[in-house]
Amino acid sequence: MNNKNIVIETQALGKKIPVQSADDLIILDNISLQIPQGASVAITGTSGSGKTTLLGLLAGLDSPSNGKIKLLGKEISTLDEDQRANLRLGKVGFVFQSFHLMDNLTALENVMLPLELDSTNHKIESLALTALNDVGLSQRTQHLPTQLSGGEQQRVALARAFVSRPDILFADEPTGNLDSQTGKEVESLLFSLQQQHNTTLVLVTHDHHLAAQCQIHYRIVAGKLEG
Amino acid sequence: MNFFLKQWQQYWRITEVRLLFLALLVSVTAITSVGFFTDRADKAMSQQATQLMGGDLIVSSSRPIDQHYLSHAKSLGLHTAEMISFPSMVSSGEKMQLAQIKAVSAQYPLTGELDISDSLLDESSRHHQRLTHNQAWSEARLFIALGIQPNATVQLGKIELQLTKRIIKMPDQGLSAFQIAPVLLMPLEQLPETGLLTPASRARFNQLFAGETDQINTFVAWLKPQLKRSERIRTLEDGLPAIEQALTRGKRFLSLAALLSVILAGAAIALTSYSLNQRETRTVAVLKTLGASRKLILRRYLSQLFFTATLAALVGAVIGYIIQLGIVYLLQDIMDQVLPSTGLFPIVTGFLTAYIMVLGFSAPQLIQLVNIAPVHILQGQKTTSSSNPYRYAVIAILGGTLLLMWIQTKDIKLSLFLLIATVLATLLFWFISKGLLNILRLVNQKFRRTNSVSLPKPNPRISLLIVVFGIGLFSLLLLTALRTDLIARWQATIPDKAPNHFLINIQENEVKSLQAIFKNKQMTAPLYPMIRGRLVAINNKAVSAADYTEGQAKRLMTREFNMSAITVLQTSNKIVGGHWFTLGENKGLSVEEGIAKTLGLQLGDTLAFDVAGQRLSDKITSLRSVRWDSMQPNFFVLATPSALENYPRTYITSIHVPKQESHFIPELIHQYPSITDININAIMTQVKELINKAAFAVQAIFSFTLIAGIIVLFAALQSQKAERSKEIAILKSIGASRAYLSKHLIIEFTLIGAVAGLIAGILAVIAANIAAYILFDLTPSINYLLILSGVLTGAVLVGVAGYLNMRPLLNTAPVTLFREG
Ligand SMILES: Nc1ncnc2c1ncn2[C@@H]1O[C@H](COP(=O)(O)OP(=O)(O)OP(=O)(O)O)[C@@H](O)[C@H]1O
Ligand SMILES: [Mg+2]
Repeated sequence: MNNKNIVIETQALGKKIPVQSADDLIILDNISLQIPQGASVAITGTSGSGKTTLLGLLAGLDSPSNGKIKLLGKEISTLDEDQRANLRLGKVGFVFQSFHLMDNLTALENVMLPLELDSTNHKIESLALTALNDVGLSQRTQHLPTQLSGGEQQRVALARAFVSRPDILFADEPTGNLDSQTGKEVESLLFSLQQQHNTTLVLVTHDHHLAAQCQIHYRIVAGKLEG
Repeated sequence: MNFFLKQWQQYWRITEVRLLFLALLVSVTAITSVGFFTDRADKAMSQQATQLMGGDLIVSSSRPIDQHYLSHAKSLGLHTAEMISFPSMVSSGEKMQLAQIKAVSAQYPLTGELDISDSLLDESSRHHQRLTHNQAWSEARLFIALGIQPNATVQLGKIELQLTKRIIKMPDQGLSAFQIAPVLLMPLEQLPETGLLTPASRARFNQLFAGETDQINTFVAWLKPQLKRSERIRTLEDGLPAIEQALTRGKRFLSLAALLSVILAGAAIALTSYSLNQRETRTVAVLKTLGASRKLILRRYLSQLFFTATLAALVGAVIGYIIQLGIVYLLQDIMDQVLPSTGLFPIVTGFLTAYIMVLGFSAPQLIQLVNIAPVHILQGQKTTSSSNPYRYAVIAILGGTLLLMWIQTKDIKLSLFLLIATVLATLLFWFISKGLLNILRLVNQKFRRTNSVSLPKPNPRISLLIVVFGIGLFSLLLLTALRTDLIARWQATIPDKAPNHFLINIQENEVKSLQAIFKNKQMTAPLYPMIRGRLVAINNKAVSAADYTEGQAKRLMTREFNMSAITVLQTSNKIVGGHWFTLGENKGLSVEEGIAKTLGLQLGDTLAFDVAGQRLSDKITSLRSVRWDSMQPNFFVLATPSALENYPRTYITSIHVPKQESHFIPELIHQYPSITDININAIMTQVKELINKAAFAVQAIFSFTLIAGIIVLFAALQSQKAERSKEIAILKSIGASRAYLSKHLIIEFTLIGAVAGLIAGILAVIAANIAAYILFDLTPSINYLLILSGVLTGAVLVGVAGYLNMRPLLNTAPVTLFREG
């Protein structure tokens, strides 16, 4: 393992959910891991094992019940929501199972969105056009999400994720809503972009074929990590 | 800025945002159109009041006024003029018309403008000409009624005058359409020659004074102690005759109509904001994953919201201005004068309305968005904001509504009352609609084994839709009922042979020959003597207007009462207290119960009247109820004939003239030129036309409520779309055909509309009957047509709008529906 440049690190991370008149429901327990810069990481496990929950914690979308998380060198378990958001700004990208494109925005506008949030950026439109070109959608920039197929929507989502050149990309079942052929296309696009930009990729998936392409593979069983 | 506009353009693509904009637009349009109109009407009124009716100070009396007021004023350096006004017939050849004669001295008017023209059409006017001997000027209506052009000769009493000029504008003109008769100005010095002025005629004598303020003040200080009972100084407040009070009431009514649209549009905004909140939840979650802070999200939504409000206010104010022009055009006969241009204040109100609406109805729900936890976006499920947005929203909505009401009525008590009334009306509609939908479902279940038609479930959004749409429809139906049905029903209660002419100002020496003429024509026309007296004492205690606080009582005390003497009570009168005069009785007074109540008079009180300088005093021996719409002459005070024998009097009668006898009245007036004819048919037509036009204007404002209702409809449909598309996808996946699904949609929405229309129709009929009872004592009747048109309007509007809105969902394949995130 290459530990000179760790971008995500957790120590004894746990997530519990209080249940009324019963013991707390333990979703994640004692997770410690380190992810180096530029690595591709797959997180697999059965349904309900806690994969998505872990991803949310790593990305700082959720706060842990116990343990520590370091994201991009910053301890985030003590930060408030806005501070964590600020840490993500321009440095973290997401790809979701159900795309989550804004349906009132064209493909181009969707891709421009992360850049607009970061007001330091100026060449927003040309960057977004390049990103769309990279995913092979240069012809569809003015179309609304409803006018695009699922695969095309997910490619727009990839462009949106990579446009701000994030250090880390989180993806939760990025091919889960696509048929296998389209899934494969999106998959190879994802890895080629990741390598091209040297992005750290944290990927949650059911798909063993997809997991096998990653350098690091974590398995979660009932909330516990099985390296 | 460019970026902001781009963002707004993206925002605009969201259906909910467009609905929000439309709802704001309707509100601002309603508020500003009424605002611009009332602003202009207000200005016209105050301008008129400052013109002070042709003089800075007017002394007015029902008796000739002491001439030494004039000479004293002149010695103080004031300008003076005189005016005597009374109604009389003016004729030209065969044609005749009732006119308000104003005999004026050469100096009239002292202040204000008197604009005249040489032709009926020419709008260019000349002022500051003097009336010369044998000339008269009049308003266009008199020329038209007599079918003559300027410079024609007209007969007035015993003399002929040349009608040389048309009056375009004059002081004291008022709202002339409400004055039964057009004005005719004639030289004062020729008044005696007409022979029209007798001691009992209904003339009003005026002395006008103008000068520097301190001269006027000195004069008033000298004048006040000298004034006789019948004489009074006309003030600004007197400048507002009854009809202008009616206009004030009308203005308030229009304001309330606009307010109703605003409140309904508010419901649309709240509903739209709710679905906007639902819809933007995902956007906010995604923005947060990308690193957007709470502050940025708040700024983003609030700035877009206020920009939408600003844009709606701007466009709404422009449309409102145009609609106001339309209202003025519709009401030009009533206003009958060039209105001053409008001020900017209505625009301020419009903007304020838009901002309060977004603050009260929309912002509280959108602010909830910042609380969305981004982690939910990962769970694939529909993310909902943590706390129920309704809770804050209800408080904000009630507060916002109250504020809007307060701005519009400028009366906090009235606003609170309106707020409570609105809440109650909402609850009423809510529960009725819920009950009706439940009954429909029960009936449906009973008659069909397989529940093949899915009836709308009584969910809160459908109930809200019915409430708002129903209230909008209700207000329109009620107005339609009042405008058409009510007057028609009232007219139907008037018998065919009811008198259609009043003849007044009949002289004592004409009574015998007139009676002979009527008898000869077999017309029943009882002649009643008419004496005018001012109430000066009750139970030997002097009274005046100053003793009363209530406006109506004050007004009554400044006027003279019409008194008559009869032995047989008219059929339209009923004794409600005491006893009617027995045969041969020569004492006692009979007083109309309404006026007795207003002035606090009781059976057995002794009243003293000043009748042309003589005192008439007697006890009240009976109280009467009077049907004023009976078309018979009716009087506030009746005495026995012998009691009134020695007082100056004229006579009055009402008469039914059949259509084929149209020459009768003109011939009669030719023979007896001092008689004044009041043609009830003509007045009724005029009044009906006025009511129609005014009601149409009001209805135009109320139509905003229906538009607001339709926006609510769309908002409600929009908020259901996601849910619906899932439902349709599921039904399709288990084999429901397109035709089957569209049939369902049509039936469902048509039913919802029909239910809203039914409730609106029934409530409108009830309300119209209550109004009919209060206004005209009419017995209740059910206007099925009104209910039917409510049901049809509701069914068609909601059915078509609902179907069109939902139809696109039918075209989508079930797979894609499942896929939509
Ligand atoms: N907010 C919550 N409240 C209660 N239980 C929760 C909550 N979030 C997650 N869980 C539970 O925690 C467990 C792990 O959920 P998670 O979504 O992380 O699973 P997953 O591994 O992503 O499953 P899948 O492969 O089906 O997406 C599940 O049993 C889930 O029901
Ligand atoms: Mg998951």
